[in-house]
Amino acid sequence: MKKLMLIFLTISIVLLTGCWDQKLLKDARLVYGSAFDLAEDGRIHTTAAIRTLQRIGPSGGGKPVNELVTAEGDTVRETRMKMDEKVSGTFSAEKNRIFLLGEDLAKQDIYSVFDILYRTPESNLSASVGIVNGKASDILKMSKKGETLISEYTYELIESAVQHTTVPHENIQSICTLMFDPGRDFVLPLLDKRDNEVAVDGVGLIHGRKYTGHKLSNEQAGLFLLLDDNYGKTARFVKKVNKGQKPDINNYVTVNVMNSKRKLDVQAKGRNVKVSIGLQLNLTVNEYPLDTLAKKTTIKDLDKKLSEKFTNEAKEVVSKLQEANCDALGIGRNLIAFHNETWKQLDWEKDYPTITIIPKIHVNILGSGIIQ
Amino acid sequence: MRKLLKRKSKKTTKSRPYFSHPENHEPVSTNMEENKRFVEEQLFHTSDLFHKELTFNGKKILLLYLRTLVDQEKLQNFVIRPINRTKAGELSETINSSEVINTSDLNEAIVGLMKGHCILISENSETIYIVSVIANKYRNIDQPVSEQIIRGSHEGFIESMLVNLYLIRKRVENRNLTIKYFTLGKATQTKVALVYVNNLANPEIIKEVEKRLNAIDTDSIQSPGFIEEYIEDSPYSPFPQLLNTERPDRTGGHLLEGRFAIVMEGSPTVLIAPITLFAFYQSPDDYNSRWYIGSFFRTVRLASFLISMGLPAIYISIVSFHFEVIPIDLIFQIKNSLENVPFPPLFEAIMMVIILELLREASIRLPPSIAQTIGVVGGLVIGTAVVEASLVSNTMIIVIALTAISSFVVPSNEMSTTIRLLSFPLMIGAATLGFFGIIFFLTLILMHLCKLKSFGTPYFAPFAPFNPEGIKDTFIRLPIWKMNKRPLDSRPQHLNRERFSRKWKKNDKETE
Amino acid sequence: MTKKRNKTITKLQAFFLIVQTQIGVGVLSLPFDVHKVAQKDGWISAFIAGIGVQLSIFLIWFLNKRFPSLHIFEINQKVLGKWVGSVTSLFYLVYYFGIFLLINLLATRIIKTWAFPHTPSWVFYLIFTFLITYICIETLRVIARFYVFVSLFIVLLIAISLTAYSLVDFRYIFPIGEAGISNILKGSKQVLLSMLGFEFLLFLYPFIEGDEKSILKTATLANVFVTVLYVFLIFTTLIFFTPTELNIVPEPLLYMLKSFHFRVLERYDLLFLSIWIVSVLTSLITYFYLTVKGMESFRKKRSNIPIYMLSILGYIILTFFPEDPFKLQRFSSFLTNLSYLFFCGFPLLLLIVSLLSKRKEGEGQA
Repeated sequence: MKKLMLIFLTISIVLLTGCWDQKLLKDARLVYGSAFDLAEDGRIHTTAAIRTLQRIGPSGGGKPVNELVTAEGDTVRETRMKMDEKVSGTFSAEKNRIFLLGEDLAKQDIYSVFDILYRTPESNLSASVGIVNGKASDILKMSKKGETLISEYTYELIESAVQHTTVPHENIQSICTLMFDPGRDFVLPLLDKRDNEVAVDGVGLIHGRKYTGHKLSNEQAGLFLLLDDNYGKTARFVKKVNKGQKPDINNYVTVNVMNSKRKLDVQAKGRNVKVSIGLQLNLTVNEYPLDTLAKKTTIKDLDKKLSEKFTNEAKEVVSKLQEANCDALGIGRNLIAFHNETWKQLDWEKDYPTITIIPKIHVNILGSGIIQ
Repeated sequence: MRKLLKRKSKKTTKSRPYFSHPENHEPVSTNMEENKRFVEEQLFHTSDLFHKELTFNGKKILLLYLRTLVDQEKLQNFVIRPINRTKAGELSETINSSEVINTSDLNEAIVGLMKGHCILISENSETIYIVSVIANKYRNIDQPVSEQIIRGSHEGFIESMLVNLYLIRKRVENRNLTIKYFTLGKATQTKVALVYVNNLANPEIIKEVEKRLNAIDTDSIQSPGFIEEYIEDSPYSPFPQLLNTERPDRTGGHLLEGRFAIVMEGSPTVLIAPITLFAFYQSPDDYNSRWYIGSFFRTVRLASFLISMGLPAIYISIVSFHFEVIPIDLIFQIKNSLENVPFPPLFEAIMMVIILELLREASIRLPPSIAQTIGVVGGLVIGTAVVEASLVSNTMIIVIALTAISSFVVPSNEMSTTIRLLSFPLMIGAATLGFFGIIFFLTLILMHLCKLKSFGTPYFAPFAPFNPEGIKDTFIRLPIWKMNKRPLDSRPQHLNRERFSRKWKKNDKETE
Repeated sequence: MTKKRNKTITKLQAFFLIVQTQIGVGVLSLPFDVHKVAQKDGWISAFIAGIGVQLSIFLIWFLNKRFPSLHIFEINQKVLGKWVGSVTSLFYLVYYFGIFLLINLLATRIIKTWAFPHTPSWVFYLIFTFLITYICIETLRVIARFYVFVSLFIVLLIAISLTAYSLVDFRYIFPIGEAGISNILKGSKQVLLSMLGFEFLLFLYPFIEGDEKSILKTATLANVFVTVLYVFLIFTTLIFFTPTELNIVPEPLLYMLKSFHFRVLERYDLLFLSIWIVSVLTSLITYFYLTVKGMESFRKKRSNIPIYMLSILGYIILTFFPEDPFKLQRFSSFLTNLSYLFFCGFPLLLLIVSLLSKRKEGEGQA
């Protein structure tokens, strides 16, 4: 009898409990990419690319298409609410893989745009972030690039740029912790839309929670990432090492970074901060039409030329960072950790651009491909 | 008549069941005809009661037997012919049978008749001879259909207890192998044998099972399933607590691990206990092949346990609660197949499971040739049509099919059904609270497993209580020479079962 | 008066009984709570808390050593006499029941904020109560078996947390000791509260197989394990989050997992949360079990009816508890402050009284 009661109780519980938090995948309209822009009078303009399926057969299958929804509102949540009203089913941004920020909006405050993502438990914190030159919605409006949907295309674009050491591997969560860090800034991939092409256009330098408007080109960004000890899977550089050779192509060498070793040395005395970054690059030559690399002297010569070239460019990168007041190398964090007294005396906002940062790059060619 | 009345009054005072065999002594009368009449009355003049009059030592002898139970040839060769030929002497020596009992109790004689013996009533004698001339009508010793293996012994138990015991004895040629007979069921008088290895099996457990067997008070025992239900520890538990097997090698193995087996007359199924959950996932094949192959299949089988129990639940919870846990590309694949399905996932799943069980049930009952047709019609036609009609999604069909296949992997049929049944509450949990629903139900099952006992030994051993030694023969199957100890769960009297069998290897090295 | 008790659980089981009780609802918010006070030196606080717990374990051990076959409720009566002892036992009982309710409330709150915002709390209370009652009517041995098995999940929790190490910055914990000694000590108080559960030893002692020394060793090992685990978890979150961000993330462990994604699975926080529930459940079971045992110490006959009554009572209280987070916080800090009395105050008192009155078990028999 007791057991019977127990069974009865369990069954009734099961039947009584509804499904309060159920959200059926069937009804979800999954957003793949979102773009935020600054509209006039400071409002926020959101564009969302919902991936749907143009059905062909009766049993599943079909052609994926993008459905664009846009809305304008005072906050991001408001735009979302408006978009939800515009679509059938439930607007769900849980699987949003890429967030694009318009240049103007990024210059205002990145954190406040993303606050909704940080606050709601179901949001996807592993999504990628990019800043777009001009309006972010323009990219999503392209709808398709070749056969690929634009949102996926952009996501894959950034992913491959990460692999090629052109942009850093950042996601919504990782930039959040950096935005809160007084001793460290970061860079975000910059995307550019020209005609019907979307391309990575280097990285934009962020200071605090704002985009500074300064940027590094693709090549510089690669070097910066190496300086930041943030090597992806490959990194290639094309450098001009000779002059006046005919044809022009003979003036260049393409190198592939096999591995890199960085040494960040921060010295602080009183308010005086001196930073030296030593970078050892082990390269293989990918392309060098001018010469064979059989002789040791030729290689040594090339090593020297490249080291000089890289060091000069690194200096340029550093000065750009300082100009933008973007401490993306995390020198401030180093000071907090190891030179706390100095850090307390400094006003990092003001002092960072004035400190001395000396990069030194040493190149070592280890291979020349399958020919010499 | 007075005797009958007396018997009746006894019946009422002791409140014996209505057709129990009378245990009182019914003395043989010197009058042969009277004896015959009594037997006939007791058997209600059944038509298969035959009698034949013979003459021995110049006296009339009445031979009575049940035609249906007796082997005619044996009767002829062992009883009738010797009597006719010898004509005089000692009757029990004349009869050519190893089993001749004499009794002065008519009731015992009747019991003998029921067992396929013939009885000889002599004129003016108070002794009745009971001679065994039972017809041995067995089927061949075949490989059991429900427990087939690839390599190793292809013997299987049959419906005769004697043959089954013979098969066991042959496997365990040891003087410690003890067999105890029990007679269960007042009406059926089913013979049941309890088999164990005396110096291994825990005496407490044996005492316990004897107690439980003796407690059975019922009219009929039709199958070992009856015994199982009478003696198992927790009758409300979904898990089987005795292992059913038709394989002598499996039985022998378990006996040597200190367990006991219950063999029943008339059934090829043997019950083995005390048992753990993991024993249901062991197959003799594991020991017939090399150890890492055996281990691999063990792992596959245990994975099947998780899949068949959890997969539909996990799928349901993903599509109705937590679709964010799976990568986006996969989401779109699943979403596409779901798009036009009008039902909630739980309903979809239960519908598919029921269809599947229907197909399974149908194909069991039908002759093999038609069953195949059912398989094709059911599996292929319905499967495709159901998706075409958007009643069930593609992915759900995959999930349910996988679940079903995994459940059939279990070497034990009843465990396979248990697992499939247990997936239902998990599915309901998943449809109510997503992952949490699953976790709650799993915890409940886990708690239940920790509580559950098979004849006083923990069912979930060697995990709860945890015993690293026991893991060697559960998840995986380590080489036999590594399993030096018997499993702890059966609490055997001697733990060590293997010494240093590969010592030759050491010797080899020394000689080199 | 007391007959020799059966030593029913092994040392391994005792280890996991203590560990599983300790690891519970506090784990998720532990780094946040510690960081609030001790800043980046929170992991040192965890070490200090571990030492504090060890001292308390010594105290409990000394007390129990004098009464090797009695558990806390019986010691109360033995040392303080029938009446005072009963009152003390009653205090213990109410305290355990209070903790049981508190864990219920906190766990449900976290589940609701993280995964099931619309599901009413009573559903979770019901499920918890049902599961707990189901196992608490069993013997300690069955509970111990269950604990040992679910400890597999702890390994899983550690494995999941290890994935964070691809995205950390060790510089966040430097300079070491910046928070100052007093803040670190205050922080260790926070950790201590997450370590509650070791006082289970007060009850467990007479049931553990082995001599007194090995029992102490088991309890110490359990403490070391939990301390190291907590240090590891705090350390991981400290190097994952910027200190300033950690200030606004109350469940940093979950938050950290939320941002990971791999090819086959995303949203590790949901997985983590589902597994964590089992750890919470074990703590709940312990406290409910202790309450039940406390009640049984007042009655001679063993019966399941009071257990059912108790779970129904607990359920009713839970459903009527106000959903105001600040009230919950008050209840929480009240109980946790009170806990010092129970794992330190009373045992100390009992020890002193028993030393003074020279009361010891077995005197009558010897």
